[in-house]
Amino acid sequence: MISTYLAYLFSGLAVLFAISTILQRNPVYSAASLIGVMVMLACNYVLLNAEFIAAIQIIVYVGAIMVLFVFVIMLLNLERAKREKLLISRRAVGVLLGLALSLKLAMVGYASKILIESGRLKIPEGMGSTQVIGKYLFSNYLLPFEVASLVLLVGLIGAVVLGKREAS
Amino acid sequence: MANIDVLTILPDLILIGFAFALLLAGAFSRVERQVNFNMVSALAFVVAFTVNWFQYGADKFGFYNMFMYDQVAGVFRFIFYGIGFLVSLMSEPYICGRIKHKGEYYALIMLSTVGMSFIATSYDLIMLVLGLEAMSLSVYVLTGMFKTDERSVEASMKYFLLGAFSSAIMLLGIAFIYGTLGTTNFGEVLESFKSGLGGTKPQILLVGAMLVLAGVLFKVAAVPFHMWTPDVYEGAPTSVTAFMISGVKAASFIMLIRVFVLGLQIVVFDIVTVIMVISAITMTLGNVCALIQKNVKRMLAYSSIAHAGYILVGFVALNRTSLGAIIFYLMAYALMNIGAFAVLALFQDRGNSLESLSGSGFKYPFLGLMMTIFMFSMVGLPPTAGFMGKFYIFKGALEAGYVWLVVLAVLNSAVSAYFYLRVLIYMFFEDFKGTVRPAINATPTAVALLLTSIGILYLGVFPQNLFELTRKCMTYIH
Repeated sequence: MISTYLAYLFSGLAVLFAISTILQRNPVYSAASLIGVMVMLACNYVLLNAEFIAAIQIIVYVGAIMVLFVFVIMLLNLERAKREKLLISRRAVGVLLGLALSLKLAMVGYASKILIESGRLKIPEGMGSTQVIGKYLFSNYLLPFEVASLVLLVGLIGAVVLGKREAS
Repeated sequence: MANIDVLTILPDLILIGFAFALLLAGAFSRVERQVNFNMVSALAFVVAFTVNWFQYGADKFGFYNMFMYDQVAGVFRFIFYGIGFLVSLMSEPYICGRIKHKGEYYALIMLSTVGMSFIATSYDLIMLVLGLEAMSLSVYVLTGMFKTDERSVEASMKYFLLGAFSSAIMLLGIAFIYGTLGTTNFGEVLESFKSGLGGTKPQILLVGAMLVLAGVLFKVAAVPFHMWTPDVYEGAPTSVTAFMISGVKAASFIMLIRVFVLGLQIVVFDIVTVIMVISAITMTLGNVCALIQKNVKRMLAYSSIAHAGYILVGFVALNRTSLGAIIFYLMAYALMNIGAFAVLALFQDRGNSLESLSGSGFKYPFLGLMMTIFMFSMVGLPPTAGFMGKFYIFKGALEAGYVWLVVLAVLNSAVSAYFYLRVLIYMFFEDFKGTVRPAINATPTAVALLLTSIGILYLGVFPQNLFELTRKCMTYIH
């Protein structure tokens, strides 16, 4: 029961952080608010027994991607964003798209709730746990896992080769 | 089948090992000066080719069914390693002095070939995508290796952005397929057609298949996904263009065959209707645009679009003859393109205009003779491999009853004679202006030229053995 209240708490905070992300004038504050959203989502994943996804969420999004964002903000030297006057039609399009997306998500959530309650959709034992993912990664998906590392290596070589300054 | 059969990927492991060794050697300047990188690279491909020679024959599954090595995969491995070998031989005089980091250049060619080989042996859509990415990423970098040349950098950027888009579209398609069938493994896909779907064909599966097809056709450079081709093939270093035009094209066609003939058999007849229209437009547009090009590399780029159209005719026919002919054609096509680009690379001219070749045929008779063989093969004139390739593809299409498509293709070949033979007219019937001079110390390139021309003539005169082999190995279809 307590987990339900916690879920509402984390979700509510996530929404608040999200609103803060788009309303902040200073891009660094926006980025910081986005970190809040990511952390709150990670907390929700833990409540759903998906601790591996939660850890990845923190490491990849909060760790790597946010650092990238902050770097971009730093390098581009963004000033405080000027509040632009948006056309009313553009705002209407934005609001409509946002509502449509929310409706869609609500429908998906409701549909999966019905599917699970009626027993037509079964979730395998231990799905999403680190142990199960690890087992798959090093048995069934061993070759793709290794080839993915090759792809990353190629990307690394490419970045160094193309990024290096050449003395002419 | 929980077998992890490491030996099945041994040739690829050898190539990866050599690539790492070259990367490491490139880091030490003293070693860099003493080692012939192109020779080491060529040696690596010879070793991989030999290992594949001993493995060829038996069908093998490996790595929990992620991987299937059959005869088709074996033949394509031969093609890829052969292409890598020839490109390694012909690169040196062209990139010498233009590219500082030769270790990286050859290592990327090897890693790209490994990606192609993984595409040819994949038995799962995930492996296919990873192979595709390993191949494409290496080629994006190779395209931009002339960092001081604007066109090279622009080509790399363009290819990378559009390639990333096409990969994303393909992944979306795969997501749809996974959503419908619950698996990405070809074996399980076939099972689910038999049991789960009970012969029905969900619409969403078709949507997924079409999106995957779009991703593949981008790599093939078929109309309407051909826009990047001329700019990228023109801007890339000439040796890299030879690698792309032969290797990446061959890899995309095995991808097409592997996904739609081996895996998603249930939708292949819906796909064929689309490809029929695309192949007709592709060969016509490629040839018409090639007619007005003044730049030889750009002309060959448009001609590669046209050739993609001819090869797609073989896919439309979808019988054993025509699918075997596709493999034969890809071999012939690789030989003549690597040869033609090796001649261009030897002339070292970055402009590559038709005029710059004026009179070079009589001034440098060996290169003139070679270019004549390659251009005759591109047109599809009798004693060459190009003729036999077209002959087998059209034969397969006629067996399947696509007379109008064959008539269109033959008309297109007749048109293409104009712009291929124009290169020879410039080389032999214009006065020499002294604008091009072949590189000195180009023995490896000369060897590559000899090998490709002998290959073209051999396949043109005695095609029977090889064609029987390619026809026999195509066991996906009866």
